[in-house]
Amino acid sequence: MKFRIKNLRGGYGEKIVVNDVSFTANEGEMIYVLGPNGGGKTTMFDMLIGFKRRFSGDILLDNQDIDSFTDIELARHIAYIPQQHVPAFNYTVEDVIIMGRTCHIGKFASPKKKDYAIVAETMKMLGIERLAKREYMELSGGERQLTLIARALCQKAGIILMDEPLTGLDFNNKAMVTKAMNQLTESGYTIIMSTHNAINNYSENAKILLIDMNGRSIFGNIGEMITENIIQRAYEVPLQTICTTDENGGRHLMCLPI
Amino acid sequence: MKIFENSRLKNIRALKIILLFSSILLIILSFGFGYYKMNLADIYNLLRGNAAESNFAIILNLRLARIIAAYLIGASLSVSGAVYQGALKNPLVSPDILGVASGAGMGASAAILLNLSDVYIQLFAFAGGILAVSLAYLISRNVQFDRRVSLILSGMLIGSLAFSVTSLFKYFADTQSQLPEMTHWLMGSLSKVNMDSVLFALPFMATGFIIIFLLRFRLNILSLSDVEAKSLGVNTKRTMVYVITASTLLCSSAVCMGGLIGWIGLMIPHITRALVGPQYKKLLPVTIMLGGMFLLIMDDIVRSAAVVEIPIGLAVSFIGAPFFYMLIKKGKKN
Repeated sequence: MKFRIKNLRGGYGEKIVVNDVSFTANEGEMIYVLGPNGGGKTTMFDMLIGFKRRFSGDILLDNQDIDSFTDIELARHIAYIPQQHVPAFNYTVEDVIIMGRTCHIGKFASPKKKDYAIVAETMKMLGIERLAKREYMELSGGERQLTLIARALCQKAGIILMDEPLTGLDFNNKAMVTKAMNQLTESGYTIIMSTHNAINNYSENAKILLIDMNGRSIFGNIGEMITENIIQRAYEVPLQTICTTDENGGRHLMCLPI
Repeated sequence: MKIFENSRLKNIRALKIILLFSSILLIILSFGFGYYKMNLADIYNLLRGNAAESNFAIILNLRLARIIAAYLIGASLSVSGAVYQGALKNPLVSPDILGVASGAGMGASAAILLNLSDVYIQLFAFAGGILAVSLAYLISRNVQFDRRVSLILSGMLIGSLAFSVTSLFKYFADTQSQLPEMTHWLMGSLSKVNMDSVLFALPFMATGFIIIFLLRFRLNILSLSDVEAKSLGVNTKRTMVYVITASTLLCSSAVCMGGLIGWIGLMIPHITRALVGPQYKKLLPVTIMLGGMFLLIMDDIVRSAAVVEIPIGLAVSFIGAPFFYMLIKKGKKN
């Protein structure tokens, strides 16, 4: 499904946080959202899933505005993984993942065997089946992200939004989550994620959505963004962009303040 | 609460069966407690319908009503606590901490003061409960502390306000008829319960239980943040109205029957969650049975411990207060 955002604008009360954001996400694409804190990345995500009302602009799923979808219909197309958080209760991993089935079961129903089978299958795919009965709060940051990714996959949504999924993870966990995300885009999922980290193993057609201090966006292929050194404009500090290719041909990008 | 950590049971079905059988056993045994003593043979005769003696019939009627009331009130308050905790995303709230119980007590007192009938007492109690929980929630959003603490503080505020209004009603009440009835609400006592009051509250409680049962899976989603719930396809605002209405219905019906009995709505859900985890589908049946049994045991104790009956609300507080300390003591995760 094609996800197209045109001149999105929104904020809190009178205050405009997201000023003018436009981009298009095609099936199987990975989009990294970069930009300084307070630039409205989280606000943008809230608007993209229809949680927060926008001031103006279009959010289109295959040319149909998301406002014309019901909550349940929208959840079947767009999944969202918010920033690391502490849930009120300590659910087991299986309990967390099964919540992804909400948009596929009746309002008054409870998940059936079939739904648990989907959960088991998804966990296996992500290699976390051993975590099923563990408690969510006891997991490492990376395992939590994989659990939430599994929940998103159980929604059967083609587009997955992630707000800083790599923040606070150690190298092990980062590698684990990055690998899972790359697998997903290869199998046709669209992933839009914000990050302050190095971008590892990005594919040739991966894109960057840069949102600057004033909430305006610049959108393009990673390659173009690096060669024209656009990224530092958003942060308003001089940045050294480091690009490397490892021995396996994996491309990596890192920005350092200088 | 350290002792409860990592102690989740593997076999929940076995637990449910054990609780079911012990509930039945406890209910039968409870006929034996009270001012009029009955031994096992008497209970057996009663159950077989051989209650020829007229005083037996009266005992049966009164004591049965009381046993049902204790079990239902315990179950209702526990479930309503479990639901408030999830819907408000705060494990430390309960009908009494949120001021719902005091609000319901205030409503009931108002109806008594106006000499209204039982239906209105129930309706007023419900209205008072809804008013209290809505105000507590609205006020908590403007309190400067973090969300969990704010909700508790606003609940205290509303609770004490409702209590003052109730005291005012007591001041104006007729000392012969109205005042004793109001005092009865506020202390929490099952001594005046009869079959009529049980049958009257039953449909209200049933409605509450049914709504909560229907939304048992969605309750889990409500305990997540609003944005997460929305991304999973749930409109939290609408669902919240349903479940808060249902749990307030449960709580206010319990208050109508037995007055203000605190702590249960906090204690039982926490114990249950330690046993079976927070997933509502597993949590609710165990909460119902544990809550029902707990209050029935407490009622058996107050009925037989002393010559003069201790109000059950007070007896429960003696257990509830130390429990709350254990809950908020350092060393608890989350």
